[in-house]
Amino acid sequence: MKLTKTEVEKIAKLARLKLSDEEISTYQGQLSDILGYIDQLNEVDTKKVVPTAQVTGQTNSLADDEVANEPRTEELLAGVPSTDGDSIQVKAVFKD
Amino acid sequence: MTQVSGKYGEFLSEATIAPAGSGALKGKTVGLKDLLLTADIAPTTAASKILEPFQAPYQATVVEKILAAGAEATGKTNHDEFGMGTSNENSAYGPVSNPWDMSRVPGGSSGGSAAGVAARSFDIALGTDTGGSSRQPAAFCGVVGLKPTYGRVSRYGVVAAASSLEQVGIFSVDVADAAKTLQVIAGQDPRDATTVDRPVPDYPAGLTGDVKGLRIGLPKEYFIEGIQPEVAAAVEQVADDLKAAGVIVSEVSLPHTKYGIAAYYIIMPAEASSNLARYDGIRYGHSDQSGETLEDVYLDSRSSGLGAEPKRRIMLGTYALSAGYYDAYYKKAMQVRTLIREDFDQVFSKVDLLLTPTAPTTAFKLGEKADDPLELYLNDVFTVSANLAGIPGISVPCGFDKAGLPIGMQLMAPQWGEEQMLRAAHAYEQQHDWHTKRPGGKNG
Repeated sequence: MKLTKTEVEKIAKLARLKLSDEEISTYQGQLSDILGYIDQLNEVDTKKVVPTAQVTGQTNSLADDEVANEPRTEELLAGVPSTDGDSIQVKAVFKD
Repeated sequence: MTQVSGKYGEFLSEATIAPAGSGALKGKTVGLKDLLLTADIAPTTAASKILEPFQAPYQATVVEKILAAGAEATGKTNHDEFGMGTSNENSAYGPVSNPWDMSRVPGGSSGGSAAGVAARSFDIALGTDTGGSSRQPAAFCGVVGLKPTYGRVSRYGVVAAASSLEQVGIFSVDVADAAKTLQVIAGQDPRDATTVDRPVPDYPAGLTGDVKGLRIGLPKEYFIEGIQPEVAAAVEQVADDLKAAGVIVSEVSLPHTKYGIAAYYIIMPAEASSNLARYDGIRYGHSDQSGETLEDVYLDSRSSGLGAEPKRRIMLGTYALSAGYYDAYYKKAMQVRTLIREDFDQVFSKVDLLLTPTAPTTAFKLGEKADDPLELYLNDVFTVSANLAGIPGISVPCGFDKAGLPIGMQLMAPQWGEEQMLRAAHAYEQQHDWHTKRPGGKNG
């Protein structure tokens, strides 16, 4: 399964990764090899097989809708790269 | 500044946490894989630059439990970045070497935990096991490595890579300590909805030494060409030794074994691409704010903070989940996962445990496979199926090859079958003295 350069660029954009031309080329080769290996899954007949999403056998493990924590705003903001008062500050979505 | 330390590079931090109580682990020192959140000590880096500045605001449940049981945590151990690797050559801070031969890898991803126990840098260690990341390095380093049933141990406070596959793993010198540690960390946790409300048996009390009548199957698909002959021979000897102790040994078949790696390397990267989307330079961790827009912050922070293997897996996963490819890749892999689970259900109606090699070879040289990601993935061939099926597995030392490198055998049990798995592992271990051997340190 050979990926094109355009496909790799598209995947990188979806994954919010910025890649150099050299990286695009390297990953293009490696991902193509890996996907080539994975193609063997097509040998398996899965027509009537129900997909497995999780293996606990449990459904809807819910908690009561009760507040159980104290606010920890200051502590949590301490690790934030850019703040404005009690808010996390982010750059503009659009360029001017 | 996080730096690798320890004779084998086994530490990312040597900060300690005093015991918080007294119990089954009193007097034991523990190494904690740096995917386990520790509040108050050290950053928790996930062996990545993207979390280099990250001070965890809470402690992982398993860390709380081992401290309450009397253990002293003596450091955060080195590992492959975000748990992605089979050789510990993917740590953003530097590799770990194997105490039995420092020119070789300790295995991965929990290489630091395994090497540290082998070297007795600490008595026991916690790691994680998403596709073999506790069992395989245990085999390479000649120590015990255990992966519990999925849902047995809380993942609260464990940096997520692949949420439906991973469990906290245990490293120890002998099976008794693994049993003791599992007893301490197992149990439902209201903070992890994937843990199961099921009583925790007294695992240490189950180590009776009596394995008469236990039925153990050797799946023929795990004894194929390409395995190092000494590894296969050592595991076949394990079967003979267990037979002499009254175990009934038979050959069984797990027909979909060969598709395990392919299914795993779709599912794991897909889940990881989702789990690693949170590393965006906004709320914590490394942040590059030099660009103009919000998107620049994402692109710059992720690109400079994440290593090559995480990027590779994020892209693989993103592709497998993207529109037009979801059915062909992710859904297909989930269906193959069902077939792998059904293979195990089938054989466990006939036998109580499975015996296999843990890894196809003993420890390879540092750098030997580093240029070929796919070759490194294939080291997981015997371990990934247990994660896909959610069943427990344990690697136990069972000999050495001509070069003096440890060989590990793996036992697997049905879900919740840790009791008989530990009992058989312990009975085998006590017939030999592999677990008393210590690295003389060739080239070290």
